[in-house]
Amino acid sequence: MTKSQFINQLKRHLSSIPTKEKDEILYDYEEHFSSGIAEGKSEEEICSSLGTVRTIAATIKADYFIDNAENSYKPKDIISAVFAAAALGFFNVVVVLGPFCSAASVIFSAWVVSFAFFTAGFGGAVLYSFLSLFNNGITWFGTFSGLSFTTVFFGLLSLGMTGIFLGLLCFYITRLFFRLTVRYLKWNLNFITLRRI
Amino acid sequence: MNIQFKKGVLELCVLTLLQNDDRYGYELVSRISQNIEISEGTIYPLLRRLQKDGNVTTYLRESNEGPPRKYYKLTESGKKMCSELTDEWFGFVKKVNIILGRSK
Repeated sequence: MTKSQFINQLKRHLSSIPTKEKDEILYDYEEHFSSGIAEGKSEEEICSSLGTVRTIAATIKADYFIDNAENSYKPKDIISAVFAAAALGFFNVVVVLGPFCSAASVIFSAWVVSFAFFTAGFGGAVLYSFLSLFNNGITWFGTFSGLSFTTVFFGLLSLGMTGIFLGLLCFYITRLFFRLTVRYLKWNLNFITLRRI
Repeated sequence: MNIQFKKGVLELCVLTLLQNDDRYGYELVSRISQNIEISEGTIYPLLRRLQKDGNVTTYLRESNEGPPRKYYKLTESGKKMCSELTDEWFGFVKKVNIILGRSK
């Protein structure tokens, strides 16, 4: 492989990293080549002792995205970090991506449930009071079930409140989950990079 | 050699090489790879990590051959890290030597 092939491949692999950071990284390798050439090494020799572009790029990306996730805690950045870490090898797909996806889907379902409670409760309460205006305070549901207007109305309200409460709970759990994910990824990255050197 | 161990050693090597002189990437890489077999490309992510964590700083200096070179310089926390890792290393070697029966 020649210098320009190496640099271009690396550039392609790092396309998801912001230009400024990427340019800094590429500069290091360009400099490495020019120093090596100045010492009489061939481009081929330098390439083969550098190691594979894939490995280098995967390490750089995992490092970058995990750092990024640590500074933002946005879902998008967390997901990028998880995928960058998973790209470090099959082992990491198993110990990072698997557990992350299972936990994320459980949390997502909890969000869906709280949203459903919220909408059903408050939406239902509004709809129910609206309907009851035309029925002298007793709707078809009240008549059907034998429950008074107040019981049904407050029942619906408390369903909505439960939704809010669950939503708050989900919020805290999600935040905790993101923190733990980042912490685990950092630990994992340390452990994985060691294995690659 | 245990691989987990190897990374700490690599960090220690980099920090120690920087203890008395500021050096550029290629210099660090070639000094280490003269003695330890490494994928040279992985030193640069390690250097970036050390820089991000504030253990080294960098500056550019003109060179006679090609573009300016990025020099790495140890910070105070880098010096501290270096001496801690050195102690750990010698402590470890000493214990292993005891097991191997090479020292009292």
